[in-house]
Amino acid sequence: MNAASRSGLARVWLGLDRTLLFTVAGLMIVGVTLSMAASPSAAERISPGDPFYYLYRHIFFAVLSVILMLGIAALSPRGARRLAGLALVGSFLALIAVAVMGHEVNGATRWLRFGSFSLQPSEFFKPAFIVITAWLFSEESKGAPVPGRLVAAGIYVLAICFLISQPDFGQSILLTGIFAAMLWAAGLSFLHTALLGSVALGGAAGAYFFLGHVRDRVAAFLAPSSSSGPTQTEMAVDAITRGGFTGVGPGEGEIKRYLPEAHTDFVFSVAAEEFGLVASLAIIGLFAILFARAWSRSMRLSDNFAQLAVAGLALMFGGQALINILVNLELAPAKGMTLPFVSYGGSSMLSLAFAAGLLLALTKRTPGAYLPERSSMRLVPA
Amino acid sequence: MRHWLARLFGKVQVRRSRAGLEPLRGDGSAGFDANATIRLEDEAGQALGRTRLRLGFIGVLVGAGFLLAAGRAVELAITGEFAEAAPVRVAQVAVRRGEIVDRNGQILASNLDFHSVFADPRQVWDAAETAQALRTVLPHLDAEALQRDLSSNRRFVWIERGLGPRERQAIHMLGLPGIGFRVEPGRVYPRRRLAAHLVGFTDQDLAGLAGAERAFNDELNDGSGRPVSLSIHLGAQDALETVLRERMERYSAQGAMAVLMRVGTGEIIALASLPDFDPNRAGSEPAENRFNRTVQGVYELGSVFKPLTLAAGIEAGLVRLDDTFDARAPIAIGSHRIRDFRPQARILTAREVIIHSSNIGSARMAEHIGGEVLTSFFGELGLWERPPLEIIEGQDPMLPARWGRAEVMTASYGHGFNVSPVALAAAYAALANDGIYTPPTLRPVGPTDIVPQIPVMSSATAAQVLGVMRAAVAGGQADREGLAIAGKTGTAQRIVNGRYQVGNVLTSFVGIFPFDDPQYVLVVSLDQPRPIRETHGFNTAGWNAAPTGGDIIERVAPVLGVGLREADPGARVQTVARMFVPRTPVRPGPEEPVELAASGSEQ
Repeated sequence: MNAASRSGLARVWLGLDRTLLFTVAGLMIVGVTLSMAASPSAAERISPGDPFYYLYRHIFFAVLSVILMLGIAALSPRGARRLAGLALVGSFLALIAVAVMGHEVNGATRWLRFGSFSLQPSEFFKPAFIVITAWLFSEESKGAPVPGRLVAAGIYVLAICFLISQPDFGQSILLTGIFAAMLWAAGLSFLHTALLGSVALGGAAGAYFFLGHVRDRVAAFLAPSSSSGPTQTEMAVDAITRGGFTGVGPGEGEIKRYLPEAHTDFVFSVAAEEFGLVASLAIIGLFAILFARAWSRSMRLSDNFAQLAVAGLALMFGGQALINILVNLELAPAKGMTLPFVSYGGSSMLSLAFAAGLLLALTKRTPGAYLPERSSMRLVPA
Repeated sequence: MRHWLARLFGKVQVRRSRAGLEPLRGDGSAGFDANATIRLEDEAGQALGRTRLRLGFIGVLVGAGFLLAAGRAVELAITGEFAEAAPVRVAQVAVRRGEIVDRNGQILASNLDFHSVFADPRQVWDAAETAQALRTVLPHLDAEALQRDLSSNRRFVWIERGLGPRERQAIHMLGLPGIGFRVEPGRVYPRRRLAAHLVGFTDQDLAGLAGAERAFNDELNDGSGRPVSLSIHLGAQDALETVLRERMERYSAQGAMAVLMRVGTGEIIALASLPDFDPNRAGSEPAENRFNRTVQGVYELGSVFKPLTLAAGIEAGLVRLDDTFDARAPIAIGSHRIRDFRPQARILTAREVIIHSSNIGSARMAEHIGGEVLTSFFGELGLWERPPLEIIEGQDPMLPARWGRAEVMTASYGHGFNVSPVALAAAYAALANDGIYTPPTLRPVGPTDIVPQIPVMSSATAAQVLGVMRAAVAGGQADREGLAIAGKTGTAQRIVNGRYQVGNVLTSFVGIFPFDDPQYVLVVSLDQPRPIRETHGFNTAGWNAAPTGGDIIERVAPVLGVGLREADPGARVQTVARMFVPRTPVRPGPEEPVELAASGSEQ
């Protein structure tokens, strides 16, 4: 092969899936554009002579993220797996630290604070968990003498306990969905599927009946008129409606003045209000391309581990984006989930870059990584 | 389909093994146990194949989710694009509240946009610095509370509402982050204190809280933006307030009030209650200043009721002007003695009872008339009810629990019950209106408007009492040349802890002018006026309320277009007398011809 004669870096670059890379870059550019809406006069006070403080901060993290992402993307699948293992252990320790000394915001303890920078360990935990779970599943189906599914399930249960104690139900639901999809895709028997499905339903019902916080959210979603004043989602829908096809114009949006999470959870509404349907379809489209590309790569990967890991990561990006967008469109109850790559926030962007780096590392075109185009199935014995 | 389902749920594995076998042929896997390798590969292939199928299934689900999101976004955008002129919730200026104008269209209350400052604490960089900067423009703000607000975790705190454009600009120029402005409709009262109690005020959300703003709140907010006109005459109001303010200061009185009412229509032409307030900042004025004494206050008004007692007697046919009453000695009733302030210590005619303001004579007259007649007559004059003025702050009168002999006797000279000055003015307006009562109103009455008219006494009764009241004023402190004022004073001693206090008085004057063609009724009261050198050490109504009333009438008469009369009051009396030429001098009664006020020649 030609690639073998090239330098390492060039080989890495050529092997990268550029559709994924440019989609992620596109989403980051959308995020940077939206953060220009931050008040320049406020920024000027924070750092005189620098009217775009927020913008620069966002760009700084975006650049850092791209570097991190490319650095991880250069890793081999094995390297990626090892990194994920380290990240899993690290984020677990951090989750314990959060439970002990976390920083509380809006009634939820999800953050670790380092000076002005706060870190949400669960953001780093998710991709690491997905990769390691994929590895455990694939090992078990390869016939390795490890109870991979049981170990993965153990990690999953432990993580869910931490997340619910924070409490962070959005992440719990997302993680459960990803875990279930991966478990099923890895080849769960019909009997087990039925069994675990009913357990999951029971768990959801239990959460609804025994946790007031969950019940309130669901009730607010089902009967929005019962609460006083417009809910956050109603305001978001108003803003999106106001945007129409082409939007009210950059900086002219009103929702960001009223919604406390305008630049994180409801950034989609801000975009739709200021730039209209053009922006909302662009964002939905970019995420759809990201998901579809990663998914199609996953389906064509020849290695079971890479296949499951890529699928899990794609589900994480797609699921998180979809939940966030559906909340904005009043099709799902409010969850408090950010829009990947677009929402403002250094910690979240770095963790997403970490996940995107893993995704790129695992989807790299290397000899034998993918099934040939024509043949539906061909295996090279190891 | 069966195969698909089977693979999807991973049930059948062995049966499918043959299908995956074909492509593996000729793969060059020499050196292996072909069968074992194929089986192993086949199982791995099975697993991958199943995974791919299931992944495809999940992928379709998520893809459907994206399609759903895109569809919903398109739906919302179309809704927004074709919902024309959807009302914008923010910064939408509602239909203006109507203005309040006087009877000639002079503006009393209007609208003006105010600028309000708010903060978004999350965008405030330095709470202490911001608070300090804001205090350079708004020094009255509490530094600590402000700083606490600015460093809170909320997204919206009001800093100050109701600023003018200049203050707004000054704050704007500070260039503070996180500080924003909103334009809010506000209410302004360009005449400031003038007629403040009548006009009233609103809260910050423009809901009427007092006066006309409250009474006509619905009409002001009916969405038409039409002004609401009041019956008051701004010129007369200004004249009345000016005199009242000056007199209140001169006598060092605690308070003062005056009501000017138009005879025949019941329109309130001017109304003042002192101390007053500036409705532009009603909230920061003491509550007692916002108290409208003329409507909210009920008082024992004293001797000003004596002419009404006389009217009751004449109307019932029980008293004639020349009937005599023994006022030689105080009347002992229970532990209380009815005395005269300026004892004449003789037998007085009914006319003299009024002119000399004899409590004893008045009490004897009441006893003669009887409690039943007297109280029902007062009731017909609306004194036992809350005056039906539109202002809803009005108070019910305070009446004795039962009308015994003592209560009736004291009531004849205005003690033992409390009524509002507006009610008294309305009662005298009936007397001035040929005995026909018209309810007081704050709305202007046009020439074609129908006014409720309640006959209370005959015009003959009214004319006689008017004549006596003219005689009571003639030559006195309230008399003003050419204005032909009829009136009566009253000095009421306050009850404190169940005892009448000698120095603590409420002095009143009721005036009707001009008496031969009554057009206006004035009630003026001074609360605790002090005796001064000018009044020769007296603090009675004749020395303060009467001249105050005279001055007010002198000032408002030209404003209201009341022409001057000939100087001779007697001539006026004769003019009136001609209207009631005696027919058959048999028995005086309400519908019978009677002897006239100052004719006096009958005996």
